[in-house]
Amino acid sequence: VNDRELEQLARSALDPLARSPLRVASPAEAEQRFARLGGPLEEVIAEAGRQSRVDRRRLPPPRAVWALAAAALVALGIGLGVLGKRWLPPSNGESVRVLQGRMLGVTSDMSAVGVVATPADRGARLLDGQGVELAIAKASRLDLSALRSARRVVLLQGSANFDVPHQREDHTFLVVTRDLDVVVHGTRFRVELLPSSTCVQVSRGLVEVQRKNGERHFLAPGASWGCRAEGGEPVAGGGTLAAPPLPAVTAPRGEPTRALGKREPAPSADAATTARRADKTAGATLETESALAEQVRLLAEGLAAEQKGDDAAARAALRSLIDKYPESSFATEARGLLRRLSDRQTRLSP
Amino acid sequence: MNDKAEDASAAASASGEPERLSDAELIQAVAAGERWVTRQLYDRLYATVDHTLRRVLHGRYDELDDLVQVSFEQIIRSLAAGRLCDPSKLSPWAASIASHVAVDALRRRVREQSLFSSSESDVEQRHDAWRGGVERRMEARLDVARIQGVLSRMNPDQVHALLLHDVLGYEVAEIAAMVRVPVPAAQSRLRRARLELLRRTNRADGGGE
Repeated sequence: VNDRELEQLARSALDPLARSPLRVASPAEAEQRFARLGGPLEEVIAEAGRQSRVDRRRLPPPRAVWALAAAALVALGIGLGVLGKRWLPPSNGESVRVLQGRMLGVTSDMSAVGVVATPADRGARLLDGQGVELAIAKASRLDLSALRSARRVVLLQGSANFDVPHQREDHTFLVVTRDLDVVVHGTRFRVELLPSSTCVQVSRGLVEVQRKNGERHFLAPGASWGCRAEGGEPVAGGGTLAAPPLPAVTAPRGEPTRALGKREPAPSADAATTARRADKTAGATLETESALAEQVRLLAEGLAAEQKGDDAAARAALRSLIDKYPESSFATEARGLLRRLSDRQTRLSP
Repeated sequence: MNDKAEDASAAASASGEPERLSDAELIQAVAAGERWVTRQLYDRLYATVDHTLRRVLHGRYDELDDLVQVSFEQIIRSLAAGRLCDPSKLSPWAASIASHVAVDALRRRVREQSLFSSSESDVEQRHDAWRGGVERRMEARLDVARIQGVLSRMNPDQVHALLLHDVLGYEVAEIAAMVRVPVPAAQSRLRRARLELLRRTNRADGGGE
């Protein structure tokens, strides 16, 4: 039989139950029944409530909690076991995590000295609690004792690569060497101590180099400072920019404008205002970031073209910067550069 | 218990006439052990429970009081244990429990009868005896007794599905929710129950049961 026939046959068989008339309880009957059952049912409800409360207290943790606990254990296992990371106990308020290699040659008690030294044959890679990543080359020494309190690292020997997350307006990350202060605004760069100078190479973001004599330079991505010096003055390479008169720079990723120099009071209106306005709107980060990146790029292109003797390309890049960001401090620098180019052309022309 | 149930509790103690609770609030109050909701629970479900028991037991009213009480006790304990997932299904849920209670009562009755009977067809034999001398209106009762006898020997889960669908008129989806199985499983259980019912009734018609 198919389903329909089966249902019909079953219903037919059950007809005596389903179709025959039923006597319905009258309201009076229902009332009488409640009079008999009401008391016992009240007791059942009270007892069931008590039992329910007891059961709730005895309930094992829900499956989700067990699942989360298992996931956390697996993650911990992967973190500690598979990747081979290990944690050093916090010392001197600083928690240092070893990512690769080994952490060797801590000169003595790190909590007291805070100096990390790597052996001659092996470097180390460190990550502090605030996201600063240091790749210390072999045979190097860094003083990390002020890393947390002053966000400052002193390079005593050798070299290190730094990857610094973008800093808040009131924060600056500083790498100090014997002749330079490298002010970081969120970037990736390398600092190497040479016999007579300090070599700074920037691979991302913007770095400010402050010489002990007060001279200041900005290093754009790809730029370096002091790396090919053979005695005498340091040599700038790539997109090195002399500090502009009004050194206001919009911090990357939507950070509020920060005046990098102390000599000039007010930052230029352009980048600062743009950044503040942009902070309030969706997509502000990208806008601000691209504005800064474009200014740096245009100025760096102009400088590079000038060094190559390609005055036309240099002018084009600098004019583009001035047209687009007329009130930017980089534009001021670009105007000076254009003037130098014009003077040179005037001198060369018959 | 939620705020409304607490408010109703306060009103109940103040005026003696508690506010009518929704099904969800009623369930929460039962789970919280609030004695004062007994009346509301009884009023809300009495008709369903009474009708289900009468429909399955059919005229055997001598133990109806006890079965109503057993049904309500099971309903209360189920609600307190949180076995009813969807508060909007309170009434079908109660019918399902009452149906279980009724089937258990049928099976118990058959077991008791078999203690005094040498043959499984005792009910049928008595029906035959009745058919000879009783009034024609009694034949319907005999049919009911016969089908009750068949049902009482079947798998309880299958009987439950059969009664809920073919006698009490619930949809397969509702039954699936009541017995907490997927709809296809409930459908399959219903089909097996029908086949088993027909097999047994055919055997009974042939004198086997």
